[in-house]
Amino acid sequence: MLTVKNLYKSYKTNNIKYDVLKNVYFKIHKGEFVAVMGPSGSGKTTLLNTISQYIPSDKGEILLNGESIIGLKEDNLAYIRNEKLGFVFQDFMLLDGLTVFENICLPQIIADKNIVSMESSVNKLCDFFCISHIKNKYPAEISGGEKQRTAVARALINNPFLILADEPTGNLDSKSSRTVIEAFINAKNKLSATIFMVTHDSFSASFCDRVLVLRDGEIYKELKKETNRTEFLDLLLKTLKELGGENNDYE
Amino acid sequence: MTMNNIYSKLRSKNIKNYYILIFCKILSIVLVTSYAVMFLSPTVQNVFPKHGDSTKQAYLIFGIAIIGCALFTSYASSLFLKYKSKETGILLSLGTKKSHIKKVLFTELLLITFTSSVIGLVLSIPISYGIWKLFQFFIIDTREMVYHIGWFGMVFGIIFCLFVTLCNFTMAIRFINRTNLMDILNENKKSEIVKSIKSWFGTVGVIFIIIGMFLGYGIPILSIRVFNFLMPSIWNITYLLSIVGIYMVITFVVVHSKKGKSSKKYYKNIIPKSMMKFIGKQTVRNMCVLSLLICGALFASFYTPAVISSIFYSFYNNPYDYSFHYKITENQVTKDEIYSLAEKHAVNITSYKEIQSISLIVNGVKANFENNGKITYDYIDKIGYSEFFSVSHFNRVSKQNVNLKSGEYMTIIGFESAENIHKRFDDLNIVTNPTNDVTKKMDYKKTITFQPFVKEGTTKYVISNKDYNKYLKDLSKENIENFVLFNVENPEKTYAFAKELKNEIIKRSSKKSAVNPYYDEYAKKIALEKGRNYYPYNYVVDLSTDNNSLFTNWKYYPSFGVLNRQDIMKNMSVFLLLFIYIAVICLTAIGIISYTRSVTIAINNKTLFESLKRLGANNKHIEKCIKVQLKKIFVVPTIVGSTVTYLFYFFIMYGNSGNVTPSEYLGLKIDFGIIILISIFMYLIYKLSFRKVKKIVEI
Repeated sequence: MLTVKNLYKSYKTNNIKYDVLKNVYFKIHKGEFVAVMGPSGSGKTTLLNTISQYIPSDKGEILLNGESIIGLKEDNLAYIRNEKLGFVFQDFMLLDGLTVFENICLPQIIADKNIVSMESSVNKLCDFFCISHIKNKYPAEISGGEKQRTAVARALINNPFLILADEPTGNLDSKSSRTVIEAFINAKNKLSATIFMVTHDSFSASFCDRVLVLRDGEIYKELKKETNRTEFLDLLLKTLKELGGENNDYE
Repeated sequence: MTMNNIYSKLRSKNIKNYYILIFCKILSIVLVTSYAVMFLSPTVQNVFPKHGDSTKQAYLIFGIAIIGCALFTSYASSLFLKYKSKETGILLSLGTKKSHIKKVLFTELLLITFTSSVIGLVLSIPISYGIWKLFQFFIIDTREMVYHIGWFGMVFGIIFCLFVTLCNFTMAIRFINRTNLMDILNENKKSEIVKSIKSWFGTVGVIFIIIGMFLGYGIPILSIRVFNFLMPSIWNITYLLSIVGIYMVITFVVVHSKKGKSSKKYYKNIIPKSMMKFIGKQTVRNMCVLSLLICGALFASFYTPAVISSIFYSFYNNPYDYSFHYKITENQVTKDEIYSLAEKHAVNITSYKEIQSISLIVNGVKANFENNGKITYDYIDKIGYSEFFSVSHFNRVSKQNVNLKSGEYMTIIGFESAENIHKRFDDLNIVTNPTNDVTKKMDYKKTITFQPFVKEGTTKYVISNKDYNKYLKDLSKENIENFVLFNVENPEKTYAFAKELKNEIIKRSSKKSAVNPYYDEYAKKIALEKGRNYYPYNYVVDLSTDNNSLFTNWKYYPSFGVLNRQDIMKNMSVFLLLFIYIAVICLTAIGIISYTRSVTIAINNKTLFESLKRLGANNKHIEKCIKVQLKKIFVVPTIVGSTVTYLFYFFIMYGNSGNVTPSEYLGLKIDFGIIILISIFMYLIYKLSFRKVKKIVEI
């Protein structure tokens, strides 16, 4: 599904080069729910943004379903973002001037899809994520959890190969976080969605099949859920504690 | 639902941002075009001297206003793009083609630009007409102030529209062409913090301001005086150093905060200071524009006091209340007629004097400006006519005791006369009798001050009685002028008499005397012989009693103190209108920009103020946080703009004559009064903005 090979990314500030991603290599298979964790500044969000090509990478390969998406022309990239990828942002990124329904429709409108099938797909997704009652409301009129579920529905509307989620529970309370994670699990189980999520929240990550732990731009460890969720959560917390350092958010 | 529906829904949601951009564009186009329409109209152009200082000042101030308006429009465009960034970023992240978004954005911008340009250009005519009429209604209405549209002004307006459009589109291209989508997406969240600066930054800024002014104004004057070299126009670029200085000073005031000795004050202002720093770049840019516009408004307002104070000073220090002159070939009003007119108006004439002067051809120096900037001087044996008085005549009217031997002369000067590159007091060496072409060498003795004989155009000299009588013998009547000088009792109450006498003088003047102050019969003859154009010859003076421009344009305009003092506003009406209009343009822009800035601060910081409330800050504390920020926005540009302009004007005054004359001091005092008036204007806008801000943050 997704293969990231020897990925490098650096930033330059005041003529000083900062290597944010160094030789990152991993694979995600169809239907997997994978999380990326790590301390602040470890390169999690940069990794997500380079996979979506929101920011260009310096070196390496990103293969989506076996096809490289690096160096594609603007129009081809737009097609990939519309059809093959779905993105969920930490701060929802819904358009304030459109209703929940219209926001979910957006990727299909952009792709100029059939209106009848689009409306039925959106309605289905609204039912699926329990947001039908708010579909005619504007983002300013709904809660954070509802906004994020709307964003997840929008990410799924075109049945993409992969959903990229950047701290989707970062701005939410625990109850709303739970509903969003449940939305992802449902999408994975019932819609066979593949999800790649950046998170700080060990609890949310414990619902994933696999967790990649990043440190200083490199994959420090890869943890697989082999037993039950509680044990996996303990393992995650233990690993994150190992990271230590002054930037460790998990201590 | 289609993308078009989506765009139109988004547009209606964010319509306020579109309106703000359209409003700003219309405003700047209206301000620039209406001024250009007025300034380039035949009415104004006929009054302004072609290469005179007033014209240069008008262009300079107009330049400042254009820069201010262009910056202000670019600022509005950058805010518009900032508001558009979230929408653009989301659409791109969801797979909309960049080319499609570009097309939509450019179409929107094109529509906005086209609409605002058309509205702005069309509105500029009724607005310039309206302001012209208001000026006529409330201040002065003279015959000269006929409203004409300067169509070239419209062309200027169109060029300005194109320039602004180009700037806006360049900004839009840079905005959309960014490769990092996250940059677009997070544009409106981006803080614009100015890097911390050292404590010397402000001092260096002040030094830059002074050096910029010295380089821009002082060096060209020194270059002419010392090296006879005219600096190229590109040298004006050195003024930019002053603008850099203004930027540095404002950045220092906004960004610099140090605990220093008063740590109490430091902590007291820590919240508003940090709020300002957070949006430092915008704030500094905005305050710079405000400072520049204040410079423009003040520079325009200072023109009138400078001119009026100089005229007033010469009137008040004139030993004669009434004086006029004419060629003796003219059938002008006689002494008896003047007395009978005085009787009619119950005016008592005292110390009535009449003397004659003779016109002789003199040598002179002509300054030539070469293409390479070098100024060369041609000595010419016979350059034109000058007026000569005999010692005895001069002593009789001036009550001075001048003694001169044959072959000597004195140059008559005014209280504030100064030498310049065109004229030195001792230029005269040779006098030629126009009748027999006999020349005589003359020696300069000194200058002698007598204000009534000082008038623009012709220099007047005193020579010995012997020389005077010798020339007089051979001269034709065409070369003899009669000077009438007298005083009256209670001069301020003799306006009606003065007006009737002036009208009578105008009516009796022949067409031959309808010439401007620089007209010279001999220079004209030589020019025509050589097939050259002679500018003052082509200039036709309309000798009618209601023509107020005669005050500046007629060689024989009588100098009646009471009349000139009371009619000065009429006589200078077109100049006044133009400079007041520029000041109005600048003040309007200042008002709108500072008000908008204040509202932006309120909107941007609303959440922060709410958080402060949650932390226990009461309304008084929030009010103080707002006040500290608003005060900086209003006070700093006012101080910077006023100081820079006042200093620059002082430089100009000093540069004109090498010292500051009493009338210039008077002008500077009035200028100070204008600064106070503009400060009051800023205070009123501050009050208005503060009230609005309080409403927005709900305190």
